Amino acid sequence: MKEILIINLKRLGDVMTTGYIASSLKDRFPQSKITLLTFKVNKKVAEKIENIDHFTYIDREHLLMLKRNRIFNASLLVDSFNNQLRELKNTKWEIVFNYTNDPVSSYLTSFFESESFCGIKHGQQSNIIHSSKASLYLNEVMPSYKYTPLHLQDVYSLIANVEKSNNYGLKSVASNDELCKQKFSSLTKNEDGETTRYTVGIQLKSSSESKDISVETIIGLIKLMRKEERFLPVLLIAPCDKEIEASTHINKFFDNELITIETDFTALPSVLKNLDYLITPCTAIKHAADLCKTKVLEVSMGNAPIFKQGTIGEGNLILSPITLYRPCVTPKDQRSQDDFADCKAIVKSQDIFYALNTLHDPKYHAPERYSQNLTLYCVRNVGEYICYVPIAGDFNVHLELTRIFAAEYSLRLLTNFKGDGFKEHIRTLFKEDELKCWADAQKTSVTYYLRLILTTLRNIKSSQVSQKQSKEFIDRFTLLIDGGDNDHLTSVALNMFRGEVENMHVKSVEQNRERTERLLYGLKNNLQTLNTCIDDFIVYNKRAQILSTNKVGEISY
Amino acid sequence: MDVSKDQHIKIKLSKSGHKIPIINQIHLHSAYNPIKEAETIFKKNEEQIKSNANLLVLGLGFGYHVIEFARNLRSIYGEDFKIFVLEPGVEIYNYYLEINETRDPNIAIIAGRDIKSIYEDHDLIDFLLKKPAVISHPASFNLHNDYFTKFLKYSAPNTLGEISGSMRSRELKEYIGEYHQDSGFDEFLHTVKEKHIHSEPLDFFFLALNEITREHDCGGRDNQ
Repeated sequence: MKEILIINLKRLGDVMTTGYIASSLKDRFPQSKITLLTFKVNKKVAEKIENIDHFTYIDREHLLMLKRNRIFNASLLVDSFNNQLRELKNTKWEIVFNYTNDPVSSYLTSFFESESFCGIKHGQQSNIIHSSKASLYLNEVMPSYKYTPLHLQDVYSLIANVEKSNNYGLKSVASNDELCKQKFSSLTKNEDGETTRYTVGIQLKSSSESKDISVETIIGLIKLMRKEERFLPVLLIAPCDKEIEASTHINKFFDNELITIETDFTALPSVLKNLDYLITPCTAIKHAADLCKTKVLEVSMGNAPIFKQGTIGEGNLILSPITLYRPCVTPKDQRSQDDFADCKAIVKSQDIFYALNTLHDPKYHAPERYSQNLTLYCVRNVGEYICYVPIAGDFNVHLELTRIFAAEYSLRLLTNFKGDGFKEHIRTLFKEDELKCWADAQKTSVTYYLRLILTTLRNIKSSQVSQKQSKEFIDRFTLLIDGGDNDHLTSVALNMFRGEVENMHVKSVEQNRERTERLLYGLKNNLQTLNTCIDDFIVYNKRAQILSTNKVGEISY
Repeated sequence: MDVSKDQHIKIKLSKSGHKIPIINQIHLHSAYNPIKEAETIFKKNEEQIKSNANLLVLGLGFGYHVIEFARNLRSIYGEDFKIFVLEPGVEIYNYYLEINETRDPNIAIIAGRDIKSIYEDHDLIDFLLKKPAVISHPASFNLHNDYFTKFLKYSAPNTLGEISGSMRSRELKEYIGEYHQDSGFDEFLHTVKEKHIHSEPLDFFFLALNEITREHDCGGRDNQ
């Protein structure tokens, strides 16, 4: 039996997302035994994930208590950690999948014995070893690329070299499922058993106030829903004082007529599976709903990772303040709480209501425009990859074009991707002059960096004999290293290059020169691939223009 | 080891007819009614005791207060509670056993042990990790003030030599044995981190341990 270990040392919602890669691995290796290592605090959630055969935990709180307290001999700490890992250490793993790629999981990936690994681990010289290009992409491009082109789940499946599976899910208790089904049916079906209303779960709270939908907005939304009577609002809360207080407050506005479901993670899958729609600002609940295949409208605010970990079901929607104004889409982009408050004010009750109607009926036309600076994205599948397409509201043309195109370019670098899906979305979304202007800017950027690489390569060859050339080499090399911080498509290749340079481990000056040269040629190839991608797009667009009778530049909804 | 063997114990009956110990002319329980006194001690600490199913009692005496605490905890937590009692004197513990023939499985008594060995008792350590409420028996605490103060202010030995002596895994002991035995544990972890070559699997074990016990959020490098 193939023993596979997945290490996920993140928190609740992120731990749940292990379900996707677990199902892909199970499909690929049906006879495998999949073990999940996570923190003990995630136990209740972890054990709900389908396709995982065995769970094992690190009790970090216990370790911290032993470490913090001077009364305990450090031997207790060492023994305790050793005991917690013993079973894993004694197992001969075929694959260790480092899901979180944090320092602890990376050290543990190096510590455990395995035939192969996915993600990163530490080498003997404190260097980081990537299992594949996709791992390099995950760890070097995604954290620094401002508007993440690919979804995490797509990158994980590339890292594991497995096809994405649809067999994911969360375990639920049959009696709870039945109870929810009966309760909701009695509220939404008429005497003849026909559905007259649709249940819409509204998650009231998230892990941070900056992500929450304001109480006034929720009240306004419920008023709109009750007016039309097509949707039955159901307030979803966790069993904690803050959330109970919020639901009581909202319910008072409606003479306590609203249905409130208070549930922890144990019964949550049963509730989600039986809802027609879910509106949520909370990323953890969104992940749970996605795993339960419930239709989701994600209201994404604050520092939620909108594109990297957005909702994944095809046709699901994300309502977000225009990405340009979103704080904290990247760790480098830290902004104040006031910025979050500004973002919050952008999302109005009617916006969520219109989006809900679009979720229910993709052909729905909102009677008036969305609030200014608000974008509605729809999840579209391009082959097996996720693409977030802006379908209504305001959006920045250059930014969205670059983001969607970067997905295609990233896949061309990581796989032998050949589809036209991304191109088609771009073509139908944007006007011809916008596309031309954007393509020109991208090609200019590519040309600049290709020239810079060539001169850097020349410098590297002559730097051994001339101090001046040596200085020029360093200056130009620095420009390449820093180039990844811009918002152009070139950032993808430049960030990968930076990651490779940072993780380069060589033993001599000569080796260093050779390796640097090789990396520069690699970067050159990657940028040439980008050029080819843009050219392909120009050709595709022209051909499509001739063939299509549709007017280019209009949003299809 | 009896850490209070030089103390002479006399036993007399209280007015209520209960046996009470007298050490160096100090009455460890009320000379009138030790049961009533135990109730008073409980009342005085009621909130603290009731809020925690784990209770550490400093001082045994003849255990009247301990029995009162157990009775009250049982009424709240059923059998799901634990009391640990620390008593420096073995003799008084033996008297306690004579007086209380029935044993309460929820009460554990550590008697006559030196402080260092107490902190090596894994059952007690597991118990302390549950953050028990700590209540002292006033008369016992005053009598053995030094002992209990040392217990409360204890700092575990911190040099690698002392740490590896208490370690259970031979493999880990051998690994630690290769480092400077006088260095502290944090210093040792730092040394492992700074090594130029991490050629042994246990290097990664200690690197992971160092990282996981740092006071920061273990969320992952691309955590949003």
